[in-house]
Order: sequence, then C-alpha cells, then structure tokens
Amino acid sequence: MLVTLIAVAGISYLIQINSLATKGYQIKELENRVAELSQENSDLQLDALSLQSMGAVKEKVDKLGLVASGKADYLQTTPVALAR
Amino acid sequence: MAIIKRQKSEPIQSLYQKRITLLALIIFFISFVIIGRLFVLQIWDHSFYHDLAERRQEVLKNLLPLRGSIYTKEKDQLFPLVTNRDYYLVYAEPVKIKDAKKVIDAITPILGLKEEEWQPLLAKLSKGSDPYEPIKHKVAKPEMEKIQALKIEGIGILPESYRFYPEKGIGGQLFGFVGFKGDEKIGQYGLEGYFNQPLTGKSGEIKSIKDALGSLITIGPRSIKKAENGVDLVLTIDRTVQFIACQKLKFYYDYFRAESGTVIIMKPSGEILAMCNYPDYDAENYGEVGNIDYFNNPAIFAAYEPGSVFKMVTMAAGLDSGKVTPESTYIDTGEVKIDSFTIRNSDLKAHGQQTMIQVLENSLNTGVIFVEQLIGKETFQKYVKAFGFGQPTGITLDKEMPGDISPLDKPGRIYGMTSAFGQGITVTPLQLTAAFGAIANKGTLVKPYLVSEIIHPDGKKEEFGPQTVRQVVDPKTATLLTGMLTSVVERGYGKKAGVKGYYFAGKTGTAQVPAPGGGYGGKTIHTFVGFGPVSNPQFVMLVKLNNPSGPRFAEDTICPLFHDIAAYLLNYYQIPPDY
Repeated sequence: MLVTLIAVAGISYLIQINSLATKGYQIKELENRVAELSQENSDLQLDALSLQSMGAVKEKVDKLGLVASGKADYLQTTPVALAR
Repeated sequence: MAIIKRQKSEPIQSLYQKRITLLALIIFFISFVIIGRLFVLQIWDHSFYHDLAERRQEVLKNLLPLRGSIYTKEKDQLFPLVTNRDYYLVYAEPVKIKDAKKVIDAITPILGLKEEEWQPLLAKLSKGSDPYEPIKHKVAKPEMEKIQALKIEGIGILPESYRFYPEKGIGGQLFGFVGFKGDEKIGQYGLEGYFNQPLTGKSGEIKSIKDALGSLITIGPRSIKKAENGVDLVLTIDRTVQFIACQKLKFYYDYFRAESGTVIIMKPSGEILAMCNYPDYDAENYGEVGNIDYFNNPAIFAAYEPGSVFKMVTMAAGLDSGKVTPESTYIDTGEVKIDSFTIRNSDLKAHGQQTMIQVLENSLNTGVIFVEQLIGKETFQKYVKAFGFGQPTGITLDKEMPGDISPLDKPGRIYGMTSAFGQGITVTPLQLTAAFGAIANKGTLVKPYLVSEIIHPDGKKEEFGPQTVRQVVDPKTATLLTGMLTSVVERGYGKKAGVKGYYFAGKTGTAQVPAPGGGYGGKTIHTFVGFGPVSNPQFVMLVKLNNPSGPRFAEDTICPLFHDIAAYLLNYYQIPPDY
C-alpha cells in the first residue's frame, strides 16, 4: 500500500515537474514574442514622433506652400449693460 | 577416503580464501581510491568544482535600467525631446569565418560600408585567430534583419540602446549628451550631466540555472534583483518657441556672420520657455562636434562684459536708493575724467542737460557714471549682488558659471564707474535675463527653472514651481524703471525691437570685448534684453550676437531679431495689443 502510494506520488511529482519545465520554455517563447512586439511598438512610436517634429512639419509646410497667418484681430469683450 | 578428500580440499579452500581476500583487498583498494578521489573532488576541492559547475550551469546577468526620458508638456500631453531607441551592433567572430572576402561582399552593401571601412575590416576578418571584431554600431532594424537573413556563420548581432532626439537641432547644449566612460554610459553637460544619476537609475541582477542551450530553467533556483529605471524629466521648454527661437537665431547669425549667438526666453515667473545657442551640436552625433568648446552652453557658461544693457541695474539702484528720479537731470559734457582715464559716450557727443530717462534712451555712459557716483560704490555693489550677479542662478544645468563682479571689491573709483555701464565685470546671459525678469516681476528676483516635474519609475511625481530669491527693488522702483525702459524701445536705441501695437521695455548693449593683450580690441558683443507687454509681462527675452559683421551697434543687429521673435510670441500666445 505504502509502496503504491510512494510510486503514485513519485510519478505525479515527475509529471508535474516535467510539465512545469515545459511551461517554462513556453513562457520564455511568449516573453520573447512580447519583447519583439513591444520593440516594434516602440519603433513605430519613435517614427511617429519624428514625423510630428517641428522640423518635419516645417518641411511639409514649405512643400505644401502654406503661408503664415497674417495680423490677428482681437475682439473686445466688454461687459454689456442692458436696460429695460 | 575421507581423509584423502580433506587433504585435497584444504589447499583449494585456502586458495579460494586467498583469492577472495585478494579480491576484497583489490575492491577495498579501488573503493579507497574512489572514495579518496571523491573526497578530493567533493570535499577537498569542493569550492573549485562548485565554481566550475556554477560557471557552466548558472547564469548571472546584470539587468540594466532604462535611462529616463526628457519631455516637454503640450496641453497636458508629454512629448519626448530625448528618449531611448534600440539599435544593433553587428560583430564578427573571425575564428568561425572561412571566406572573409565573401562575407565582406555580402555585408558591405547592406551596412553601407565605405572603402576605407571595409578594407581594414577584410584584413581583420581574415585573421583566423581573432575571436571578436565589432563591425558596425547603431545599425537600424531593417539593415539588421537583412544581415540576419543572410545567416552567415561568424557574424553576430547584439541589441544596444542609444539616445534618440525626435526634434533635430533644437538645443544640443541644453540637453547635453550620453557618452562613455570606459564601458559605462554617462551623461555629460546640460540636463544629462546635471541629472546623470537620477536619469541613469540603478542596475539589478538575475542569478539562475541555465540549460544546455543557455535558456533559464524555470524550476531551478533563481534570485532576481530588479533594475530600477531612471526618472523622467518634464521641462518648462515650449517646443514651438524653442524651435522658432533657434531658427530665427540661426538666420541672424548667418546674416551678420556672427561668431556665436544666444536666445533665452523666460516667463517672468522663472519658467524657461526657450534657450538656444548657435553654433550648437547634434547631441545624437556628439562625436562629430567640430570644436569641443561647443559642448558648453554659452547661455550659462559664457560670462562676458555685458555693456550698456547693464545700465538697467545702475538705474534701478539709483531709483531704489532714492538718489535719482526719472526726471532728475545732469549735464552731459560727453566725457568723465578719472585719474589718467577718460570715459566717453559711445556716440562721442556731449548732450548737455539730460534726464535719467534720456540717459537710458541715448545710453549715455556719463549718465550712469553720474548715478553710480551719487549712490556710492558700496551701495551699487549691494544692488549688483542683489540682482544675482557674481553667483550662479542655480538652474539645473551642468556647468554654470557665476560671472565675475570682483572688480567692484577693488579700491579705485574707476571700477565702479566702468561697471555702471557694464564694462570690467562679467555676467552670464541667464543672469541678465533673470535680472530683467525681476523688473518685469515688480522687483522680485525669481530663480530661473527648466524642470517642472520629475516622474519617478513608480509613478510618483515631484513638481517644481516658481521660487522667489529676494525682493531686489521696491515695486514702485520696478514700475518707474519699466516706464523708462519702455521709453528706450519707443524712442531710444531699442526702437527696432518694438512690435507695433504693444509696449515693450528693454535695453540694448554693445560691449567691447577685451583684447588678449589687455585693453579692448575691435570685437563687440551685441545684446538686447526686454520684456513685454509692459501692462502684463508675458515673457522676458535676451538676444545676443557675438561679433556680428556690418552694423556697429546692437540696435541694428540684435533688435530686429528681438522684434521677430517677440512678434511671433505675441501671435502664438494670442496676446491682445495694448493700442
């Protein structure tokens, strides 16, 4: 009885440890994938930042022939008194 | 028979016994040797073999922290000005390379190697005994993938992180750069130098068991000390203002073929909106800098004799000590004689009776000497110090100079007189900006600051706001002086700095540069510092060009630059006109 119990416990321990070790490799693979995707994401973000930079915008403005806004007029918002 | 049998079996028995004994002895001996050997291996040389096994099975990796980024804030959104980007190092293991020429032919077009690069490399790769040879740093991902696809034996790839600047050419001297000290990355100059330790963070380590392929084994013992990433900095810099300031400065620098130039734009509360110098360097490729002097930020490092722009300080001292009013008069004879020296006005003219307003409008040296003589050198010196000259402003940038006002300690009267119009003492552009800021700020000197927030890796934020240094002059003095400086822009030498529809206060300065052999040479430094709109100042700005060619005085060189940037800022910040 005791021998059977030990054998069962031993086998299940082996199975568990084996599956844990395999899972370890799967985790590693997934971690690598996550790192790869994060890297790609970061690269794309940095490319987007470069495109939003003032230098890049200026270049596009010049290419499109856009002109700077002229004189701005400011409206006076003086309080209005109404009488009835 | 039985006896005979016994007689025959006895020697056999004895032989068996002997053999068994011998075998036992052999086994015992072998066991002894084995046990002895095991004793030597496991106990005697335990540490040696333990270390050997550890080296084979265990892996100890340094976990490098991520260097913090530097941001600017735009409508509550962070925009990185300096961050990290992963690149790759392509290296070779010449011992594994069979045909070096073939390898060079394959990688040269992808890596864009020039002849002077690939030729020495070919020689190195042909050396069969060489275990490692770096080929190219900072290889971008597409090129790295092409190299990887070739699957060349003996060519390896390693990731490496570098600083990345999405905005090009807007202040290498402001940011500084990350260089190497041995194998260690280290921030130098500017923000990178000042905040090197907090930006770097703390490295960690991982200790674990690896398998035959070198991967970490999940079930093995493992200890991890996580790396602590560096802090992020949020700057007060306005990206658009910084870009425009740098662009306009470069235009005027080129136009007047100046030696160098500086622009500082600050809110009266001390927030730096822009700090730009020319020539600057590209922090991403700091190794390609033409002159190592360019690493220093002239806005905080280049102390110089400011010239007439310093008359603001003398007049502030005169007004605040009650010795003069804007309407006080004196007789300008065109020169002041002291000992063997004669000090003249810059226009070499005598203007007769002049008010203090006219002293600033016409930038009369004799006028500020008159004021300095009335208040006395000690009082004048007290005000010069109170305005923050002679000591660093404390801005969080590496390599700030204090300037030199020690000539005011000397006994001769001449030192006070020349200092009154900004010659003989040295100040930094940032100190001048802060001093004018004090007048825009009702007489209160504030500390200029660049970093508004430090964000720690755990998300904790440290915020920084305006810091009052001291009340330098009475608010009434500041108001009177603002009026007088407005007159300089409206009617005096600062006319070209003004923007139609707005009142600005400011002062020009055309300072002579000391010659190496003593005295003054032909070189000049043109400065204009102003603030506006005077009814509610939104910014203080210093513009400076070193030794511009062409016009002799600052009103023709630097005032138009001030005007251009000021006009842009008024539009950008949507500031309604005064009239």
